[in-house]
Amino acid sequence: MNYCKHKTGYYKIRCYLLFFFKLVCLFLLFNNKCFSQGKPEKKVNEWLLSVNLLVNRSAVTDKKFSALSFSGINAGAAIAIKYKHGTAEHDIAACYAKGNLSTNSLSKAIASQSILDVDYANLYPVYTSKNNLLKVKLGPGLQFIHTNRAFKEFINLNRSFETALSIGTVVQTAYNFRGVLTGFSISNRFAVPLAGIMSQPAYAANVAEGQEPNKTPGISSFFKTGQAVSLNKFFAIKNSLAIEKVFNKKHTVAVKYNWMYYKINSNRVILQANHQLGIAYQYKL
Amino acid sequence: MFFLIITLKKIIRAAAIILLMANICSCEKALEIKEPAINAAAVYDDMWNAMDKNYALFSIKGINWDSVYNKNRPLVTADLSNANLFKLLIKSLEVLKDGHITLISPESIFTYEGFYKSFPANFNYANIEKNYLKNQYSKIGPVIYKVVDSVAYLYYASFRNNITDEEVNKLFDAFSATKGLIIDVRSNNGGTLSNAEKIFSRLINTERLVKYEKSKKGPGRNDFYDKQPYYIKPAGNYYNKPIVLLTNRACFSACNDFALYMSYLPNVRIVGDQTGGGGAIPANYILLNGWKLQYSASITLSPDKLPVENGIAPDYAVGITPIQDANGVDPILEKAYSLLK
Repeated sequence: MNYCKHKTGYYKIRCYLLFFFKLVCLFLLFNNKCFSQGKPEKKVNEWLLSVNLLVNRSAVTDKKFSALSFSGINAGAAIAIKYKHGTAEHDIAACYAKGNLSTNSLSKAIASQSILDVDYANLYPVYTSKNNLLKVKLGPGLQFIHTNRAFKEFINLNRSFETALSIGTVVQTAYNFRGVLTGFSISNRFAVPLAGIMSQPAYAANVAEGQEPNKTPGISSFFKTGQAVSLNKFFAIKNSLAIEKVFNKKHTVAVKYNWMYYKINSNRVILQANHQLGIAYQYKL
Repeated sequence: MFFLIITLKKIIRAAAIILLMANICSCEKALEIKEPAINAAAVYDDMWNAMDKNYALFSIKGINWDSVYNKNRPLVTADLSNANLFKLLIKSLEVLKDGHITLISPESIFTYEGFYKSFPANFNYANIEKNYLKNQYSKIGPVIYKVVDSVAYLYYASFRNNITDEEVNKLFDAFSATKGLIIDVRSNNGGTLSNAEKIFSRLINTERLVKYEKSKKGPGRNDFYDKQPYYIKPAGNYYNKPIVLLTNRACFSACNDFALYMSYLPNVRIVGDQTGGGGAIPANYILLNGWKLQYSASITLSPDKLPVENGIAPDYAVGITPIQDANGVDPILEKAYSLLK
């Protein structure tokens, strides 16, 4: 707790919240340890659809415009489809958030940012505990990120974007509670890319090289302007933590906390962090 | 062997739980985007680096940016006030002698004005309105005009004020019966280039190469793409009569480009003083302390591939003396009328 004292404002509140969240998680794990009664896992073949409303806090440093970081809280939404086939799992999820970011150093400097994140994961079980409560799944994943920024107080070179498609590894840990918390589960998914394709504006331009100058940078031009990148140029990690409550066979509600961080080491250095807290509803089709 | 398998499973379970918990807390701390340290030295370095990587005209202006750093950076002290830091940044920036250089803090604004303030104004609109337009003229959109003895006078004060295609049509309809046109862009400090191009498109009958642009492609001082040609297509009715363009040192940026375009038309003569330059596209950067910096981000070259940063020279160099100005006389405008008689 002591290290929280040295933080201020938003970071201090977040630090305390995370600390108490950790305590709650420890309690839940302890509770489960005492009351767990496992059952063997059944092979399933099912479709699950979920929608997620979320609050997104973005912080970005785009050295095209400033070495300062711009941050802000905005609203977003996500939709996900999960297909369980035997013990394997196919997940595809799309998340979109848009809002204004600002910096304390200059009140008028507003950056309008939208971010679209589409993830796919194909997971296979690699470890299941004897009581069937703890499961670890691993598999390949794809991540597509498209971020657009416009600096409202700027003229001419006032836009920036990055579009990236990467392939990587996804690991998911899930734990089903028993005892008084039967029906609850906690899961965590961590994704890291290995290689990908990325596009961003040419050095002194609003659009990528080869793209029409007055056209808004979009997804369509990505494959025309994208360049192969590895971890040292495009580093992105994403983590999704969810506490789920299964109400019956059809309906599940979850509280989700995602963070996504990426760093682009090109001529234009970009640092981006997103923290998303949301409520998701899942329906079994 | 059995013991080893049990141990391995315990390790995997422990690792899974640790990973779960670690993701909740520790990664946030490690990956947080931190605000950089903000002090006078960091702000100076940020300005110098931003210019070093983005400013396009070091070679055109023959400036050794490293020596600017070596001369001024030691003057940054830990207790340097904001006001003195602002002055020091100005001292470093004004050696570039670039009218697109602007530094804005909450308390002060600096714009380099030496490109015209060191020279005679060569323009007094009050004299023109009173003595030549006789306080009677027409206005369409942002421009005023008057036709006297079949010679049209058009005054466009600033390309920051937008003109529509319809307004340009009306304007040139009014000039259809004239035998010549005077376009006065003296003290027009630029603005939106498309406004200048709307006028220019009526003065050509074929698509014309008007300039080349060179954009930076990387942070190195000589990292430029190859020059790209820039064309303008004709629009509306073609005005093919003799034209005189009036310029002075305060004709800057988009106005400088307009003068460049006009200087290549065979029916155009430029009268007055050299233009102020500023062919580059300006861009912005926010310094660490929130001060806003504007700089030149590209190089503009003439169709002959020559830099135009120092302005466009007139065909007839004519000035206004203080006595002439006091007497309400504008020799530049009178020279234009004499050329069109």
